[in-house]
Amino acid sequence: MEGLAMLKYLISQLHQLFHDSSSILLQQQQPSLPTTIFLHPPPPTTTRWTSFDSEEDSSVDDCCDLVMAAGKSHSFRISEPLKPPPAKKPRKDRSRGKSLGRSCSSEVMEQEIWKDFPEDLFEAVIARLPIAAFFRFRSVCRQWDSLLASQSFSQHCAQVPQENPWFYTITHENVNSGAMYDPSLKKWHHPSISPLPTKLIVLPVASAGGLVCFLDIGHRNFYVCNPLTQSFKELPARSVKVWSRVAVGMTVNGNSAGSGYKILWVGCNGEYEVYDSVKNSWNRPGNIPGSVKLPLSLNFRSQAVAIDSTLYFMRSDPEGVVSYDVATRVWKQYIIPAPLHLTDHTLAEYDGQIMLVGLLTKNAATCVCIWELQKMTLLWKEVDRMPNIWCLDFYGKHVRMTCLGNKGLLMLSLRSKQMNRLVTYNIARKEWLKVPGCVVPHGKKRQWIACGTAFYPCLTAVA
Amino acid sequence: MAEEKSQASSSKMLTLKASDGVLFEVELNIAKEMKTVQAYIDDCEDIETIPIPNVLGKHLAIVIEYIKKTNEEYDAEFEKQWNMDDLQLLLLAANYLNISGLQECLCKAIAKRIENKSPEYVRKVFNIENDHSPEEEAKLRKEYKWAFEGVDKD
Repeated sequence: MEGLAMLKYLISQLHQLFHDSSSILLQQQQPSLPTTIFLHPPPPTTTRWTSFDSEEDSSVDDCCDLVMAAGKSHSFRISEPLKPPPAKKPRKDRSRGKSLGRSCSSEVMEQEIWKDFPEDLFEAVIARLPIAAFFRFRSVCRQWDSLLASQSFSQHCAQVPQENPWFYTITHENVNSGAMYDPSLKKWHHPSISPLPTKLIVLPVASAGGLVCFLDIGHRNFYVCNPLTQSFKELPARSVKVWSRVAVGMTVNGNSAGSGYKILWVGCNGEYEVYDSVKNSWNRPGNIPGSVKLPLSLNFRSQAVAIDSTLYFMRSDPEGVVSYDVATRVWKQYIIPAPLHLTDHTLAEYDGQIMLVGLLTKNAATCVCIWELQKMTLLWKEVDRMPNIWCLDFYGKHVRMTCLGNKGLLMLSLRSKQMNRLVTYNIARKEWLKVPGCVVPHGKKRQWIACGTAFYPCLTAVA
Repeated sequence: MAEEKSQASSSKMLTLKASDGVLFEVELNIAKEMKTVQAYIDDCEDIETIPIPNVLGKHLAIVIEYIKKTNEEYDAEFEKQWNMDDLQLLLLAANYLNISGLQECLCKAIAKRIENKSPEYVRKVFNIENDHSPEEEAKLRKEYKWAFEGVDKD
């Protein structure tokens, strides 16, 4: 109806012009009717006039005839009036989950849209799936199965903020097919294929950038793998003749393993070497300076902590921490007295802050405590304890504890004669959570978990 | 003249024209959140109406409202209103207009909708043809058996 009103206005204008001038109104070069009748600004080059049909107003027909007679090569049309910006729809009009409707001029078939959906956007979505979903969807099609080898997918994964780490653990039943714990789903996963060659007996000693570093039980050879993808590498042999026990630390060069990683081993006699994944070789940059007291009574039960390019190891005699910066190649020593009655202690880290986790035993009572390192005074300050109710389970018993993981989220394995309790501790939230028992598929027995490490799951980390 | 313009830039209005001709008047600082529009403005300073040929008016309206209101709370509720097809068209719009916050929000939303589903469901929703051979597919399902636990029934 609006169009018709506009048409009537146009006609009245035309009548006006006819009366005002006897000359031919519509000239072929310049159809100069007052611009007010254009509801839609004409395209800059030409003005198109198309023939107009209306049965309702006979004056329109008359006018049309006139127009047609005056300028045969011209035709006119009333364009669709401009729509004002849509008023905001009240909430009730938008029902949940209902489509916005297809009543638009550029109708598109739903299926067609998805068919042309850019690969890049699919990758952005897939990179945000939980790990299990990613592996499940590899069977969707070949394209989705090949994403692990895609550079662009790798970049998408790097942009997704890392949430909780997973835990790669050694189960006593099958040392080489580690069980993995996913704390966000509180689920144990038992991959059917081990990332490690089955003939080896290795223990995880460090992790960084989604990769886990293993050392065989004879302390001879190092191996690196991504527990999720079986990307695996045996490191070249070290240049030592005696295979003594070593402490191991691992750092990544950039934000992820994409730019390479370094692995440091250090022995009690002060010997150490650094492996550079970019060069694929070991390097001995120098000797430990005299400021660090030798022999290094290293705490081998404690994992090393990495903060940026510096690795921190626990030592005793004197009690404290030694650090090595892989970028500046500088060793430092910090003397820090240990809390009393402390056993089974390990280093941990959160947001650049060094922490200590350990068992405090007084009389018959044992408790798990968390300390923070005061940088100014070099003293440990207690910041949290495991809930008393849980500690009571171990009253009067001889307890051992292993800390799996050393950054942000820790898994603690508490063991007494016939009991194995698994607990996670979130350093930021000071949250203690029980971990469900680990049972292998088709099995009933809970696995005894004593050894393992945390790793931040990264689909595209390559050993 | 140029100085006057820049002083008034914070309240300067811009018109965006969607693919179906719908016009939107938005403040310059809102429009600038769309990096594609920002680039257009950088190229032609005096422009007042910017064509957005790839986005329907309905979706451009949603995008503009998102930019105005985005915060943690809004984002959490935002995606719940749309079905999968709308999410997809909105993601295409956000991608074309280069609005990183909205792209992130929509990618996460779509991922969340499918994370507990089966591969068959995903193929159906995205209209993807299964080009695995039966042997390949069987192998993948066996290898990643652990990933198929607890999947929603289709």
